[in-house]
Parts: sequence; C-alpha cells; structure tokens
Amino acid sequence: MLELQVDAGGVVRLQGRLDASESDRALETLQKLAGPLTIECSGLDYISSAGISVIMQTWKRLNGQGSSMKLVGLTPRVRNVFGFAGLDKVLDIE
Amino acid sequence: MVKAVARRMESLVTLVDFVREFLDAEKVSEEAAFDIDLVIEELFTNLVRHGRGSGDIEVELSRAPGEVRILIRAAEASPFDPTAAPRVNPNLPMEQRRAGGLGIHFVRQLCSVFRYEWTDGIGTTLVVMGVNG
Repeated sequence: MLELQVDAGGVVRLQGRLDASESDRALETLQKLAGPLTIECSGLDYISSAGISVIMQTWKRLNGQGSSMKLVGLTPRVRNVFGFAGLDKVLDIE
Repeated sequence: MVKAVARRMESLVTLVDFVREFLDAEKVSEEAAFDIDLVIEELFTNLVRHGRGSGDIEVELSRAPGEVRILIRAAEASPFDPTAAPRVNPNLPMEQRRAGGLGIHFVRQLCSVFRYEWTDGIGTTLVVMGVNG
C-alpha cells in the first residue's frame, strides 16, 4: 500500500510500497505536478522497477520542461535499488 | 510453501502477503527479505506483462542453509525465458535510458542462480538467493 501526499512548496511524501500495483496511481498524481519537486522518501519502505520507472518518467518530464526534481530521505535499502539501476549517480539524491 | 495466483497485476498484493508469511516463518533478515520480495515481484510482473501463456502463476519458496530458493511456474505456449532478456546498461545518461528491462537487471544482480527451463508447455524459473543463517 502506498500513501502519497502532496504538500505545499512542491514536496511529495511517499510512504509504504511503490510497486507495480501502485505505480500507475503514483504516476498519475506526479504527472499533474509542476516542478521543481522534492520527493520525500523517508517513509518509503520498498520500491521495485515499476516505482523506479515512475521516478524516471517524472524526472524526464520535468527535465524536458527545464525544471528539476530531487529525492530526499531514502532508506539504505531503497537507495540500493537506485544504485542497482545506476541512478544514484545521475539523479539528485540527498 | 507454494501459492498459485491469477495471472494479473492485482494478484501482486496476495503474492506479497504470501512471501511475507514465508520470510517471517523462516526468520529471514529484513535486508534479505527486501531483496527476495523485489526479485519475486520482478519475475511475476515480467510474466504478467510479457508472458505468452494463460492460467495461474505458481510460486514455490523453500529455505536451505544459507539460501532461499524461488521456483516460478507458469503455462507458456512457447518458451518465455527471462534469463535471455537483453542486458541493461546502467551507465547511460538519463536522457538515453528507458524504463524497461530494469526488473530482470535487478534479478541478475541479486541472485546466485538464475535458470529457466520449459517442458511440456510449462516454464519454470529457478532463482537462488543467499541469506544469512
């Protein structure tokens, strides 16, 4: 189960699991948001390639609009998945 | 432990619960559990999205000293071999990346054995993952 909360100032808080059963809903929400975005991940317990795809698509859209996105508060396990994908070096991760 | 689930994305929730039950019963560490969860989701969603068969997908989990073995069986009209999926280059710049293919890339990174065989219309994927204890 994924909880996705959009706060003022372009902050999106993700909590729970961003997996293939939740990725469509997450993308639908993120696609409506203008940048710059900060995705706060301290409550994100799990992410799979479906979730990584959501993050990549959001980054590409914002980058194409001349805007930006950063990820903050990743747990070590979630950060590992970005590392497997080689995205820890190309995304803005704090 | 064995569980058969319908071949659709909605079954992932049931599968996650099944995997969690197994991992808790076997006292697998949270770190290893995350990786096992990830590998099973990636193989399952690959079959649901791209497989050439119909009918349920069966997942069998077993524990041996130092490892967890995952068997995934599904009826397939012809071989659908995840071990033959094209390799992903994780060093490309973002602009040249596509989202597809990352799931099997994760499986390759996390397992010690990754095999597939197809016999009499049933495809079986075997994955072995190391765990402590």
